[in-house]
Amino acid sequence: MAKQCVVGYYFSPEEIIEATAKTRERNFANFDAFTPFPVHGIDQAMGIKRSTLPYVSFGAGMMGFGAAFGLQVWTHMFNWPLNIAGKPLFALPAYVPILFELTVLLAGVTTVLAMFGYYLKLPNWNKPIFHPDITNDRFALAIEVNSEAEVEPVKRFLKEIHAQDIHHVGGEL
Amino acid sequence: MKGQLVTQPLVEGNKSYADVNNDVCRPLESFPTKLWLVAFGASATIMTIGFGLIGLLIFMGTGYSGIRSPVGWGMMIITFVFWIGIGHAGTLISAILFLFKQKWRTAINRSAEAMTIFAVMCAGIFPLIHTGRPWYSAYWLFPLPNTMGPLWVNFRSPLLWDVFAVSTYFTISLFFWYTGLVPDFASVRDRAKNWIRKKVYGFLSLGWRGSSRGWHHYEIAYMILAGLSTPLVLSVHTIVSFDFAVSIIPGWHTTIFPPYFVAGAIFSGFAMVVTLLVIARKVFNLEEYITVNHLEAMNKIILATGMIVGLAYATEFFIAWYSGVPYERYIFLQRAMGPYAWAYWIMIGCNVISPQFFWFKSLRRNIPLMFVLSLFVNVGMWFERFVIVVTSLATDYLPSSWNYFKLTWWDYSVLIGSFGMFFTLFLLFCRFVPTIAMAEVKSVMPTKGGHHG
Amino acid sequence: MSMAKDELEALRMKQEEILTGTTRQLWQSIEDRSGDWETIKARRGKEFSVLPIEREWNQSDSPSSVVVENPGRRKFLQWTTAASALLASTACTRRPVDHLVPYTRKPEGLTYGVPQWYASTSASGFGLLIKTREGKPIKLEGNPDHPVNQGGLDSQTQASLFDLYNPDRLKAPLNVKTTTAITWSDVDSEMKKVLADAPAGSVRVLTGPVVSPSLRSSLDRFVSKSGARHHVTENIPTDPIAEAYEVLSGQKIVPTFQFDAADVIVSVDADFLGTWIRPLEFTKSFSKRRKIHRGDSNVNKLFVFESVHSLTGVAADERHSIRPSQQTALLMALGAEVSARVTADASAKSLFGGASASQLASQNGLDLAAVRAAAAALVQARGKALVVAGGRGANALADQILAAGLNSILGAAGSTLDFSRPMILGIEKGASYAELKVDIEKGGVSALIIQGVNPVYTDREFAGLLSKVKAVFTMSPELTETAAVSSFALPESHYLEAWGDTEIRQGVYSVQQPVIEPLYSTRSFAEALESWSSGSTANYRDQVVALWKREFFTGGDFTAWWNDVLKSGAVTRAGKGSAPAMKWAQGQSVVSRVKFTKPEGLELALIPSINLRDGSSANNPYIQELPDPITKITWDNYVGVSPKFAAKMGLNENLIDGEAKTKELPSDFRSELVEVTVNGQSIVLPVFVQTGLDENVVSIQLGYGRTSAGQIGSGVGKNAFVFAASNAGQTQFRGMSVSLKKVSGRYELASTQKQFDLQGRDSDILQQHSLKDFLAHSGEHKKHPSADLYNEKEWVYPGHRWGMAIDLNSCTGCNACVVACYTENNVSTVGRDEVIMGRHQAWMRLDLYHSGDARNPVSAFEPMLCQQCANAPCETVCPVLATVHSSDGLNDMSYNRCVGTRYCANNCPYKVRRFNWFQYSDKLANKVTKVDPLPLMINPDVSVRTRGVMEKCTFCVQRIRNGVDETVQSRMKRVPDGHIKTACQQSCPADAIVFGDLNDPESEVSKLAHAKGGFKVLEILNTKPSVTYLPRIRNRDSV
Repeated sequence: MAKQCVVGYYFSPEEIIEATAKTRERNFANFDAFTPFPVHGIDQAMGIKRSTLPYVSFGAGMMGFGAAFGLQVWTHMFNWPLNIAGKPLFALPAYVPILFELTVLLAGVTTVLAMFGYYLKLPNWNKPIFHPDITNDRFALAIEVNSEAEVEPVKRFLKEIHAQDIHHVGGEL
Repeated sequence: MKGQLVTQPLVEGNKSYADVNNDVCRPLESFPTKLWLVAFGASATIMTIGFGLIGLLIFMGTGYSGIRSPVGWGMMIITFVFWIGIGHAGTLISAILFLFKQKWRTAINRSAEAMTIFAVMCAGIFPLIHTGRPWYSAYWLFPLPNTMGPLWVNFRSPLLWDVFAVSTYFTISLFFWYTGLVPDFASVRDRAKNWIRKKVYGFLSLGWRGSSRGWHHYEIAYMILAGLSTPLVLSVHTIVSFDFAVSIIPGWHTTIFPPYFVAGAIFSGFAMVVTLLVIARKVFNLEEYITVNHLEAMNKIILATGMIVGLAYATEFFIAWYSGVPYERYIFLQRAMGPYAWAYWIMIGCNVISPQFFWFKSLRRNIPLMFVLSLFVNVGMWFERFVIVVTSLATDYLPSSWNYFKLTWWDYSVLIGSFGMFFTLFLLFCRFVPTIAMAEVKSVMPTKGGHHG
Repeated sequence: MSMAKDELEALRMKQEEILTGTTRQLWQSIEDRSGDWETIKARRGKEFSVLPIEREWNQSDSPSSVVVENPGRRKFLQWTTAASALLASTACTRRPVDHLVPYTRKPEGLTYGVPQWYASTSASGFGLLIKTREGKPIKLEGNPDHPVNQGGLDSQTQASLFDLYNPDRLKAPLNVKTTTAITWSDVDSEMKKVLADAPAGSVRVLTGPVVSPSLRSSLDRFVSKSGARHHVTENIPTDPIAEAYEVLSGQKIVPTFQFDAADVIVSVDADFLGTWIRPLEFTKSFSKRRKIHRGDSNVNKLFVFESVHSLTGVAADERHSIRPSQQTALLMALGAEVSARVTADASAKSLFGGASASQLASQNGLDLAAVRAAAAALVQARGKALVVAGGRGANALADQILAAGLNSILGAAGSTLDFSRPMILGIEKGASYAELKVDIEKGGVSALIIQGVNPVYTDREFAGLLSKVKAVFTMSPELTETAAVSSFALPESHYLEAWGDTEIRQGVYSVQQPVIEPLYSTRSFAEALESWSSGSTANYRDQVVALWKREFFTGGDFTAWWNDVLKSGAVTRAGKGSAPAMKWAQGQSVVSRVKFTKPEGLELALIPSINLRDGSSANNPYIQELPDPITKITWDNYVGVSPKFAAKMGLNENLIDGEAKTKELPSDFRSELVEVTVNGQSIVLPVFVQTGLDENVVSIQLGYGRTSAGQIGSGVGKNAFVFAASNAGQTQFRGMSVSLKKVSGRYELASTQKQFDLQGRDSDILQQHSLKDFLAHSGEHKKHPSADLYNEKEWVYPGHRWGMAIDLNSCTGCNACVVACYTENNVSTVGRDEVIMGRHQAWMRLDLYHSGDARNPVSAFEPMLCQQCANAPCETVCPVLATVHSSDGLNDMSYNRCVGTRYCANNCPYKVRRFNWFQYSDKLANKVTKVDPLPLMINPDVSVRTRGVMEKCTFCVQRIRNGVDETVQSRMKRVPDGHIKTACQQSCPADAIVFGDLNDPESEVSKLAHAKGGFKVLEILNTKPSVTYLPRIRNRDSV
């Protein structure tokens, strides 16, 4: 029995927040709201847990720092020690700029890649787009159902919470 | 609304969400206007000529440029610093103003970031062609493992710090920009009539659907990037200033350079943003989104940073006198009264005098005036770098090797060429990328239930 | 259809075979065995394929075409034979022969890559050590064993190495009229004819100075055989010293000037350190008395009265600008003052009889105080005093007579003037040039042989005269102005290609041996003369050896002696001369003719260019690009005027103003053009405002304006010889009245130094003391507190630590070190335009700084080269580590790692780093592509720099490494002091540069590094240079 999504639409951030809050109480297996822009407050309404992304970024940053430190100290002090203008081999102040840059570089790049690739599972061009106006001025609420039988009750529920032109489409959420 | 710089509505002419998409996407979907075609043709031609001359330099020798002993750095380093400086405004608007919750930035951050990226691209060319053997410096400046026994780069050299700083800056800015673009690409995809646009923007949008769970991670990531970019943007020009401050040349060897350079960078950057937006908002009639309030806010920043720069100039002189170092003193007298006085006073006129007009609200909101002044500031900031680079080198320690530096036809042509490149890229951006972050603008627009966000 | 039929046929055959049981036992191929009849049939009778050419015949549809169905065996063989025959025939073609000479049998004593040194003698007569690599001479150095130059070598002689490889050399004799190259035998037969036809006494030989005994003998032989007459002259005639002594004593003699014996020297327009007679010799002996930093506090005192700022003027302790027309009066006044103070030698005093210094001074505007001071000093140093006069003013002969008189009163003879070993200038014998001109004018000359001089260039009348001579043979290295208007231009061998000898000081004989086969079909003048007089073209070596055996050999084993001579380069024999008896009355008669009039109007001073001298080496880029030591201008001559005059005439005072010349750098270096006119002759030249000129004197350098020098030298500057006047049988170079007219247009002179004022940075850059102060003070010069952020112990130099000391008190600014550096290190010349751009490549340069009044400035030279700083600012900033510190204290520069960011050059406070803006190394003066044989001149031990890399002085690291290897091979612990000499140090005639190991407390350099008063340039920057400068000490009471 293929999974299906029942979708209903709203036209303002307030409505969708309200709706998602209600939907959450019914604790469906899986549901999501689709909005043209980040609607603030919807996270709490949907009960989304805080993202773990910052830890990933921090880790990456530390790796960058370590790599920069290792590279500079190793090349200057051990692999190729040279007398450069009579300066000491371990020239920490001179290493600072590159320590900083590589930290930022790895942290930044990893953040973006992890966000899209791991958390959003993007790129993925195969998921259904319920309505072209979701990226324009519509706010969609989609509830995933496991069987044909569940479709109708869910539709009814959506009607209760004032969703408009409700319809259902095949495929996962 | 707290912490907000302006109290007027951020978007005028009470628009609906749909209007935003329609207005912003119009240039992408309509056939290019004559104006655009002419502008693009012109700047593309200039860019091509510029690259031709760079080719000449690479094949024949660095000697075409006016650089000579003792002035080893000339047009190319000056212009490099100039463009890097221009870039800074973009990151500042997108990152720092974001952290400060300046919602008015949403209208301009997209084009400002684009400007950053293009400016850094222009800047990136110069250090490369400035070297005597670009075909080597293109990769010898990176610590690449090699088979020549231990052979590494010098991590003590400010130029190497530059390499890392600029490449990091470019990468992060690009990622930042693209992250912001993904939802808007999705908008363009969803309203696309012809299938090519659907395919292309569909591909670029990575299949974005606007899921709230996605938005959650997205906003966190955006916050982190902003957090990273803020120190980055400050570090980049700091490190560029190290190229001078770390050396022993009188007039260069000063600790004031990092803040002085960063302020100057933001100063010139904002001027460039004003220049571009005053044109863009008219040409693509986005006046309701990029309002006079926005421009005024930027003019305030120009005024502030202009004052900082002016203070820096004064401080330099004071320290030169106070230090009692004859070489230092001589250099600064040279700058103001010597053979380069003309350049120095152009700099003062453009950077210190011209922003003073912005004390007056009426002038701050006067679009033709601010356009002219922003051009002045850009000229002035180029000359600031000219004064710094040239005067110190031309008359340093040993009078015997003093010489007068002149730019050659080649120098001028390549400077113009770099502007050609910059505008070519910017015009392409206006054609093919939503010039305003639609999603972000919507999030700060008044809704039926009053102001949201 | 047919296919099917064949198959059927094949099948039938098979059945047949099977039925009849005649199955084939023997088979010739797989197909045969398997009975693949198709293939077999297809192949039958086609064993030999159709040759491609036949296939073409078959295809070609022309009626005549042979159609070959089936070639067959014979045909195949025919074709094969024909083909192989053709193939064989091609093997007979002659290939061009390349001479590649691998040392299968190694020349004796030659190790590949190890230089060979030969002792020889330059054309000018100085002792040389010639460095050759694999048979190519690549460097000329002074021969320390030579009694005259004693190791030093001047810039001209060092650069003359280029003249050997000069691409514009005449490569074969040339018939100028028909402009066809001819052979030497043609020349010889032509000469025979000419000599036969010429009426008696109508054959003349015009040569430059002849200082070679062997050449002299060949010349005499030729003259006697052909009944020719020998005239001698010089491009730039020496001051008439010999003539003066001839007047006074009947002897044409020039005593050797012993500057090292003189405590007090007074020079009146005699630039004996720059251009006067033999500057190299004089610099050597003069600087011997400037070694205060090496413990000799008995330094000499030099008074200079000169009309143009010269090297001697810079070296002077007291310098005074005069006008050329004041020379004689000055000498007169000096004489009067001196004779007033001295009792002895009444006869010589008669020269100055009745003259009163004060009267002369007032009459001629002399600085009486200065004259009195000089006179007092001279008298005080009587017996150790020397007066030299020069400059060829209006009364050249009288000046020399007065100088001789002064020296005689001061008892110079035997101490500062050596008559026992007089100088030999090579102009003592031979008829005069003036006579020759007269004879030609009269039409008494039918054949003329010219060598060693270029009269068409130096004498504006001579070209016209030549048309009166039937046959003119001119011998010269390149097609000079004279050769170009002769009948025959004869290529002359370079002195590195020919045998010969010289005697430039009586009793000092120096041998000249070739180090390379003549590159082209050339002869030395002596060889040519021999072949013309005796018809022999035998190796001239035999002549030289025979002569030496006859004249200079003192007995014993000749071969051994001769080999020693070749090794040492010179032998000395007892001097024959003696101080002649003077008849001052005759001198008096000459002097009495001089009229002293108040000098008026503008006076011109023609001076030989310190670099180009007479212009004969004008095609030499090393000479042309050498900055004039005083004005630092290259590639041009100009009108030197004083700031006051410039101001008066409204010319832009481009560098210095009238008073203190503390101007900041101007933005426009273009000079105004003026038209200079001297009795009818006029040329247009740019103006240069310079120091050390009287307001009423303008100076122009000779040696420029060659029209037929070659690709490099032609058309550089203007020829000022046209202004040379003739006065009482003497060429006059100074004191002609001249007029200047400003003309429109401007011209930028290529100068390598634009600011000559220290801007009050003396204590940091160039310290000068008066002798009094220096002796009085403890010598603790101004020390700057040096705080070091780093642990100085971190970098120690365990073995050697190379350092240098430069004695500013000895340096005369002669440019020898600069040229030495160019030739040793393959430094490129870049040409006028690039010099204007400030892209002069010299690794070693001579900074000149003036202070005080622009008319009588106090000036000092400062050789500037890479200071090899211990804390080198250039090293920190190089992103690719192309320049780092070596373990023996050198600032290494690896050219192939350099990417050319030029950051190091920016950060070098001494500005000694040079960048290759273009591919300079491929060209001469960035103009003439280096074709063979020029690449042979490159020193293989120093890598040739490519475009886009930075280069700089390395203390001649190749010499250091070589020297260290040698000591290691000879099992020595350390390099002995003085074993390694840098190129600049070796060539320095003043011994101002000392190089060595700073770690060795006994080495001369480490002694000097801690010598009293020694300082480092820009010590405040704490760059810790390895070069110590020893201050300039002026022998006077205050600087």
